[in-house]
This record gives sequence, C-alpha cells and structure tokens, in this order.
Amino acid sequence: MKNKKMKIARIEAEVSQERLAEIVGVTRQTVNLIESGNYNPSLKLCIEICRALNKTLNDLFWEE
Amino acid sequence: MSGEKIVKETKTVMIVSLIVGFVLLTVGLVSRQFDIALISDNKALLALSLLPLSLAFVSFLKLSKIKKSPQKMRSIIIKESDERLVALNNEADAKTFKILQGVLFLAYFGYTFIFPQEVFESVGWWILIILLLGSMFLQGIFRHLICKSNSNDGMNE
Repeated sequence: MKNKKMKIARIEAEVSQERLAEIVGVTRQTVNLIESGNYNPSLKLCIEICRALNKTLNDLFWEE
Repeated sequence: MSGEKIVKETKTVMIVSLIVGFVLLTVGLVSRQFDIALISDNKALLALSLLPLSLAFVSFLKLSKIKKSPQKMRSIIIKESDERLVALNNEADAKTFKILQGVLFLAYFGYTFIFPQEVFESVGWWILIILLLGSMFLQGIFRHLICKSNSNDGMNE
C-alpha cells in the first residue's frame, strides 16, 4: 500500500527524496520504496522520518 | 555505522592484510632462495601473498578516496548503514551460507560413501567433518553470543 501521507508531508515540507534520504541516513531508493509501499521501514527509521518532516508517527504511518 | 568506525575498520583490514601478505611473501622468497621445502612448491606461497596484498591495496584506495572527498565518505556510510541494504546483504549472506553448507554436506556424504577406507584416516575427511560440524555449531554459538550482547546493550541503555 502506497504511503501517500509521507509523500504529501515531504512535498509540503519542500524536501526532495534525496534530501530526506540524506537527513535520515538512507539511500534515495529506500525513501522511494517506503513511499511506494514496497518497503516496511523499522520503527527507528519511521521516527527519524517523522522528526525530519516535523510530523508524528500517527500523521505519517497510521492507517485508519 | 559512523565514519570513524569505517575508517578504523578499513585501517585494521589494511594493516592485517599487509602483514599477512608480507609474511607470506617473505617466507616464500626465503624458502625459495635457500631451497627449504615448506610445502611441495614454494611458488604457492608467493601466489598466496597476492591475495592479502591486493586486499591491502583496495583498503588503501578506499581510505585515500575517503580522505580526498568527505562527501564520498558520507555516501559510503549511507550505503553501509542503510537498513534496507544491510537487510539485503544479510539475506544474501545467509543464502550463500546455506548453499555452502549444503555443498559441504553433500561433499562429506559423497566422500564417506565413495572412499569408506579413508573415514577417520585421511586429512581430507577430517577437514570436511570439522567444517561441516563447525558450520552447524558455530551458527548456534554466534546466535547465542549476539543475543547476549544485544540484551547487555539493552540493559546498559
């Protein structure tokens, strides 16, 4: 399942996939795979992404 | 993995492989010069020294690349610490190990059935059984040690 929330939050924060990858310490491909729903990140990486985008885990990774 | 850790690890690999390479090369050259028969052909020692020396050279290149451009160091660190790539590498390593273990198992059984007279007698048979048992028991031992170190890390935090 695609993670649209993360993609929207990233675009809103005006951060490119490459820049976000650099901030959280992964490759751009990993960020792309998370957004396209093809990779399940660890909780540690989820928290780092949330911190980088100034969001909570609920905002980005919780599915209703 | 931090940058310093990568540099330290690369330096260690370079130094150890340099020492091993030079020891093999020196022993090979000396034994060739004085006609000391350490193994059937001393040329093998010279050939064997090439492997650690090349490893030392590769480590040296990696270190000089890191020193020249810190940006490249960042990309190396990311490639070595990206959890997805680490998981992929671990999976590939595990599959390779399973295949090698299977090959070892087949080699041991084949050798035992084809040459029953060599069981408990030949060096080759002993090496095969030690490698096979080692591959089985070391896995469990390492799992236990890693679990222990992880739980110790958890307690320290």
